[in-house]
Formats: sequence, C-alpha cells, structure tokens
Amino acid sequence: MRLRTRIITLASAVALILILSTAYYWPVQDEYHPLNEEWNGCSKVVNASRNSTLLFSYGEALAEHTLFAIVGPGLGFSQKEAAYVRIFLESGGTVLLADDIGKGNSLLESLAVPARFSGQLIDDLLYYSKRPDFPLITDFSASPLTDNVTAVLMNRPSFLQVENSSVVAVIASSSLFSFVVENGGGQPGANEMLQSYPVMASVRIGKGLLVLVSDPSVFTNEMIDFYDNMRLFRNILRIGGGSIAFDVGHIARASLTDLRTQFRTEIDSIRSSLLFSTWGVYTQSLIVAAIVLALFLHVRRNANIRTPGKKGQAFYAHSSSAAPG
Amino acid sequence: MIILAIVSLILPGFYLGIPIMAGLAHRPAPGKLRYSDAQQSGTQAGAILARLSETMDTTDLGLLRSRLKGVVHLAGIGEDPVKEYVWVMSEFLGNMTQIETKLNQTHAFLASGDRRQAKEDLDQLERLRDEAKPLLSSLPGLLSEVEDYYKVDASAQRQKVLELQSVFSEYSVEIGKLESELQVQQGLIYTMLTLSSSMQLVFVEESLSVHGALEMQNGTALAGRNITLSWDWNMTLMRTTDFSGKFEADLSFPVGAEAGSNAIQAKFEPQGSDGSVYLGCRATLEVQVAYWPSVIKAEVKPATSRPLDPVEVSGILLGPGGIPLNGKVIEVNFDNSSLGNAVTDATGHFLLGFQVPTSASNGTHSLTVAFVPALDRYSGSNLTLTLTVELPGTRTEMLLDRTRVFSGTVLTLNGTVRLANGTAWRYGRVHVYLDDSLLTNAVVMEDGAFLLAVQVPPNASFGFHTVRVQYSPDEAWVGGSEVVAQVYVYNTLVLVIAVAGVAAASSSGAYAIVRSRRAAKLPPPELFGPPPIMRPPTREEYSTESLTAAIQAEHDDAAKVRRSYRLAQSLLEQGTGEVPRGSETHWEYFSRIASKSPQLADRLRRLVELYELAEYSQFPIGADHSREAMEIVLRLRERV
Repeated sequence: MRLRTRIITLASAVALILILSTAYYWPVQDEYHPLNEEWNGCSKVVNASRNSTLLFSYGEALAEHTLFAIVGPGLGFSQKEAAYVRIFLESGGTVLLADDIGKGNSLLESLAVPARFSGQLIDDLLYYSKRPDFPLITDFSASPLTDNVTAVLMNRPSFLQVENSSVVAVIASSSLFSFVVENGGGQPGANEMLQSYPVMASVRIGKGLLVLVSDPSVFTNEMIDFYDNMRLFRNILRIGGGSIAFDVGHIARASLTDLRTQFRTEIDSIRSSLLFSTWGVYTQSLIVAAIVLALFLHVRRNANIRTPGKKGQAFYAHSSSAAPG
Repeated sequence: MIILAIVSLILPGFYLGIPIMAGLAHRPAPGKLRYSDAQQSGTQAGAILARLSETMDTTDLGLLRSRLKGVVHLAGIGEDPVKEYVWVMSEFLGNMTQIETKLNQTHAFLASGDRRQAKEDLDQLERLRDEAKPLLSSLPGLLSEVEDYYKVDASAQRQKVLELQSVFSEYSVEIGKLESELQVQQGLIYTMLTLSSSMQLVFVEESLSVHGALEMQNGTALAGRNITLSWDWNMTLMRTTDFSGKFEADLSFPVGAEAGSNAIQAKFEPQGSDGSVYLGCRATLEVQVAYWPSVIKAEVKPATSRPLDPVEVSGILLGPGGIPLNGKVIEVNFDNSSLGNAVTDATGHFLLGFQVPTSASNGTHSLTVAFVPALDRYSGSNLTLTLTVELPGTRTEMLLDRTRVFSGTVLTLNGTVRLANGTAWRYGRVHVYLDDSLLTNAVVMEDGAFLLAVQVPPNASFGFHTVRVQYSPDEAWVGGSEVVAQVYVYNTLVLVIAVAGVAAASSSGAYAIVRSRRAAKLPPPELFGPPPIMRPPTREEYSTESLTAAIQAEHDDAAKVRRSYRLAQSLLEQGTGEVPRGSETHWEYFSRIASKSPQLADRLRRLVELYELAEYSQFPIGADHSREAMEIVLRLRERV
C-alpha cells in the first residue's frame, strides 16, 4: 500500500471513529424518550418498574400485568395500531395515554372513547408552583389511581374534553382559577373564563382500563420528583401490574435516534460479551497476540529496508532509457 | 501532504460531520418550560379575588369548601396575603361545613330524645363555633392587607365575608336554640328577650340608644334580672330589667370598630336559684357602623417633569360639612412607592415637595395622595393624580473600520453616545453583540466616545451578520439606545480548508496527468506473440563519443556526475552482468561490484564518492568533478 493511500485510509478511519463515538456517546435528548436521562426524558419512570420494555413498533403481544405507557405521542395512530391497543385493553391490560398536543386523539377516536385532548394549554392563577405555567392539581375524586395523591404538579397541561361523563370518569381537575392560555400565558385575557378543567380521566374498555392524563410532562425526569407525581405514577403502575411497556414508536424523535439506540445496544451487547464471557476473553487474547505478531513482522521487515531507495528505484525502473542517444 | 490529508479528512469530520449528525440526533424540545429554570411570578390578586367572588355561593358551603381544598399545598401562604386569605377562608369553611353537619345530627338526636348524644354534639358545636369565630373575624383584616399590598379593590369579597358572617350568626343562633331546646327537655321555663335600637346606622363614637324586654314564654315580664349587652367583640355593659321587664342603655362603637354590619347581643343568663327555674336566652341586633367621611382635594405642580426635578403636591382635607381636618397625616405614593408624609394644618391644608425618582420610566405615573387614618373617627380618603415623566433619550452612532471581515480577525468600532439634544453623554457602558451574542463591553469615555476592537468569533459562518452596539446608561432615568450595522464574514477555517483541498486536488490532478503522459510515451505492450528479445546495447552505442555527448548534454556539473554514474552502471551491467538493484544503496552496489570485479574498485569508488556528493549533499560540484567523473566512465568503458 502506498504512503498516500495509507494516510488517506488512516484519516478516514479516524474520522469514522470520531463520528461513531459521537453517535454512541451523544445522549438521547428527545422529549419523553425513555432513554433520555435529562430533565425532559422519561428514564425515571421506566426505571421505576423492575421489568420494562421499549416498544418501537406494535407487533408482538404484550405480556399480562403490563402497563402500556404512551407518553407524549408526537405521531398519530393508525387503525392497526388502535386495534392492537384495543386487544390489549379488552384482555384486561392498562394503558396510560398522556398527551397535551392532541396526537392521542386519533387513538381515542379509533377506540370510540367519548373524550378528547383539547390541545389547548391551561395555566392557573392561584393553584400553581412558582408561576401559573405550573398548575398544581389538588382536586381528585376517589379512585385507586389517586390513592394518597393530594397534589400533582403539571407543566403547561392541556385539558380533557369529556363528551360523556357516564363513560369517562374524571378523576382530577384543575382549580377553578385556571384558564386557557391564549396570548403567551401568565394571565388570562379579557374575555377568558376562569374555570376548572378535567385533567385526568379513566375509561373502562373491556376488562382493561385506559387512563388519560392531559400532560405528559408529569412523568418527565424533572417533574416526577415533585409533589405526588411519582405516587400517581406508581399507582397507575401498580394497577397495570407492575411491568411497563413504554411506547417509543410514537414519540416525535430525531431521525438518527432509533439508529443510534440500536447501535448503542449492539455495542453494549458486544462489549459486555467481550468483557465478561469466556470466549470473549479468549478472543481478546487472540487479538492481542495477532497485533503483537503483526508488529513484530512489520519491524523485522522494515529492518531490511534502508533509505535512500527512491532514486535507485526510479533509475532501475527506467534503466532502459539510461543509454545515451 | 500528511498534514493536508489529515486536515482535509478529519477536520471536516469535526466541523461538518459531527454538527450535522448532532442535528439529526437531537430534536429540539417544543415549548415546555424547565421547572428548575422558572422564576417566581407575582400573584394576580385582583383576578383571584374577582374569581373567588364569582364562585362563592354562600348557600352551599360544602361545595365552596371542596373548591378550595388543597390550598394548603400552595407555597408562601404566610408571606402572600392573598394566599393567606384563601387559606383562612378554606379553614373557616371547613369548620362551617362541620357545624352544618353537626347541627343536623343534633336536631335528630333531640328529636329522638337522645339527650346524652345531643349534649356531646352541642359541646362539639360550641367548640367548632369558637374556632370559626376568630377565623371569620380575621378575614376583613386580611382583605385590608390584600388591598394595601396589591392596591386592588376587595369590596366584592368584603360583601361575601358579610354574607358568611350572616350565615355564621344564623348557625350561632341555631346552636343557641338547640341549647335551649335541650334545656327545655330538661324541664326549665323558656324565656324570651327582645332588643331594638333608635337607629340602624351609627357613626363611631356616636351614642346609640338600645332597649329591650325580658319575659317568660307565657308573656309574663321578668323584673330585676341582669341583662348583659355585648358588642364590638369585647365591649360589654350590664343592665337590670325594671318592673315591666324592660331595660335600656346608651352605647357607642369605639374608634377601631370594624366598619359595616356589627352585632349587638343581649343575653340573659339565669343566676342563683333562677338557674334551676328559667332557661337562658339571647337576642341579637344588627346595626351598620360607619366612620365619619373625609374628602381630600389635591394637585401636583408641575404635571410634567424629568427625573430629579422638584415637584410639589398640595391640597386640603375636609371632614363632614366641609370642616377642615387638622393634624391628619397625608401619605403620598409614587407608583405604589412611598414618597413621604405631610400633616394638615389648622385649615386642613397640606404640602409635600419631592424630587421625581430616578427610577421613574418614561411616561405617565400615578401619584396617590391618601389620608389613611389610624385609630381615627374619620374614614380614609384618597385621590390619584397623574405625573408625566419625560426621560432624556440618547442616540448612539457607530462606524466600522470595514464591512467585510475574516472570522477570527479584529474589527474596530468607533462611535459616540449623545443625548437627544446632541450633547455628548458619558455615563454608561456599551455592549457589542454579534447576532445577539455578546462580544465585549466597555465604558463610554468622557466625551461620549467609545473605541472598541472586537474579535469576530472564529466559528462565525459565512454571510451577513448583525453588529449591534447597545448603550446602557448608568442612570436609570436616561434612556438607552442602540445602533445596528451589517458586516459580511468570511469563515477563515473553511477558507483554509477549501484552499488546502483545492491545492491537494490540483496536485493530485497534475500528478495524474504527468503519470498518464509518461505512460502514453511507452510503447504499447504486445498482447500476442513471443516476448520481445531484449537486445543488449552494442559497443558503438557506448562509444567514447556517444558517452561524452550524453554526459555533456546534461545542463550542470552535478547532473553530469549523476549521468556518469548511471552510464557506469549500464556499462557494468553489460560487462559484468551485475544488474543494479532498487533496494540497495550506492555503496551497497559498489561493494557488490568490487567483490566481483576488484580491478574496477578504485575507479568505481571515486565515481561513487562523486555521485554521493552530487546526489545527497550540498557540496558544490564543479567542472573538475564532472570532468573527472566522465573520465572515470571512459576508463571503465575501456576496462569493461
């Protein structure tokens, strides 16, 4: 291999390693992503369960006693996906659907649930922490979902539009000082009404239970530690059976996130295999031995080559033209 | 070349590949706020009180209580009067809800004759009533705090508090009736007490005549019994009934009494032997208590001024009938901040001079002149005036030393700050921003000028960027200003990489062209037939003339020496069959030839020495050397 080719290959390899390292170590930052450990991720709620699964697509049937968590969907639901959720619910499963922008409405429509996420954000003038963008929910109806839950902190929630209260049971509402945000929030407009809005509800579908929460931020890493947010989630998790299947497929995420997640999983798998398995140790020994042998051969070969050879080589290559005339 | 290759491959990886990949890997979060970054915001007391008044249905206290539940979770209850008011209200409603429930229970127990259980419930009711009373009495005071703190009108809420007081009074009466009923069930004689007054509206410290009568259930007057009159929470008076059971008294509400509806209660408590005969009773009379009204008139001169200008507020305070009020304290507030107090003279006039605060912003401000009585028979009054403040504005001017710059280089800004009237202004700093990123800041010099050398960030991208110079005055009463200019930035790093890339590509292209031309000069290989027979050069080709001509054809002496060495190698190859090897040095070549043909060693050694000097050293090769090399070649020709 010529020197120039070697340099280009080496530089390409270094660039590739840099890019792959970045792909591996760059943290997942997508909002509500279960692998996102920053403030807006959902890693804490996923880790709250002893048995958690990440669901990238709806295919395999979910295990019994599993809470199917759909938190912050940024993509709509197809009929096929809705059918999958319906089957899970009818067989007795529990589904948590936490949404504030209204993408979950396609699922509610397919499941014929008479409630919708409004998609409109609400603030509260009195019942809030720090500022009206963070309403404090204190009005709960008696339900196993709200056992020992006295206050839940939300972050710019939307509200639920319940069309049939005999089917959909409202289990939490904002205070009567809340209002729909129209012009940047903070304070109500001149014609805005202050009133209470439903923010949590539950619906029985078959043997299962669908829990609606109008703010997915309740379950993010930062918010989950405030007030009774974690208690609320544990109640839902307990009713769901203790295991959690987290829907990643409907989170609005960056185009490389899934690829990087898969890449990271594979690398972690390989690394753990190499480090901890017997054949891994043997393989590492063989690689080290091969590197040492290659280095030895390379050094020995170089010992026989002395400079300058370039001029002589050029002459030898063109010796036929050295003759005069 | 090595550096070029690394730069052209790795750096683009850093500057292009990773940022692009980072963009693909990170999706910016939508408009959710981070809780830990959020700042505390103020309470909107007016809207809260208004909403509370709208939803306060005092006929359904249970619903009202449920609507205010969870208020205990609000932060800052002890610091914010609105939150404290709502919390006290919630606690009071909690007690009232329990009283409501217990009243129904007690009625049921009395109806069923369960006097023991009714007595227990009555004890609890009295305890709840005693707990609720101070809560209720603190609500008006809290509302006053809210009004003072937030400068809002809480009159609607005061009305609701009055309604609650009325409900509380009803419940208190109900509790009293239950007590009487229990006592009747225990065999006592029922008594009745009436109470009335000469007027319904009374001013503080004004005499009010009240009168009433005590009689048994059958209408027989009870004479010589003590009646206790109580009002304003802690004022009491005792009167004895005359032969016809009547009593009367003159009383007055002291300064400090709560304005509005006040209750006067008359109570008969059987004493001594009466305790085993008669049942106690009470009567309550509601009167409206008011403070004497006051009126304030004032004006501000001048109505338009600049910060630190002297301004005077003067006026008069009058009581009922236009009488001047002497020695009263008048508070003057500028946008809710106190400017000071003035005291009225014997004619009721007052005067306060002040300087317009330097913190005042440009525009209209409120100037509140208020008589806030403290333990005074006169009610407060206030008047809001307007004062227009005009801030001197500034103008910033700037010149850039050039409008096109390379990133990483220094850009010089030269400018001045002036007041609107053109006067140079020095007090303050200028901040320089490039596309909203702060680059530097500096103090404005005495003549209002500033001269700044800022480094354009090395990573500034290609294209037009905005240079913004913002002047921030030290004095808040001088308006700030800013000036904006556009510069075109050439990213130096990208340019260097591009130039390096172009150079590398040109070199590679040139090299490829040279190689292709050389290859074109070679005879095309024959694809078919026997391999060509290599004909050794004939002796004529190595004739003295041809060798001399070939050597002399070189342009300088060093080249002649090198050509001589190569011709010698060719001669030796033909003569001895020793082919020069690509991998060996000239001395290794010499050693090999010398070992095979020792007779050639001496001449060949000198030629190799000359070749070494010509090829690998800076030694100046002259005509003597080239001639010597040529002679050696000719001698070798003869030997070979």
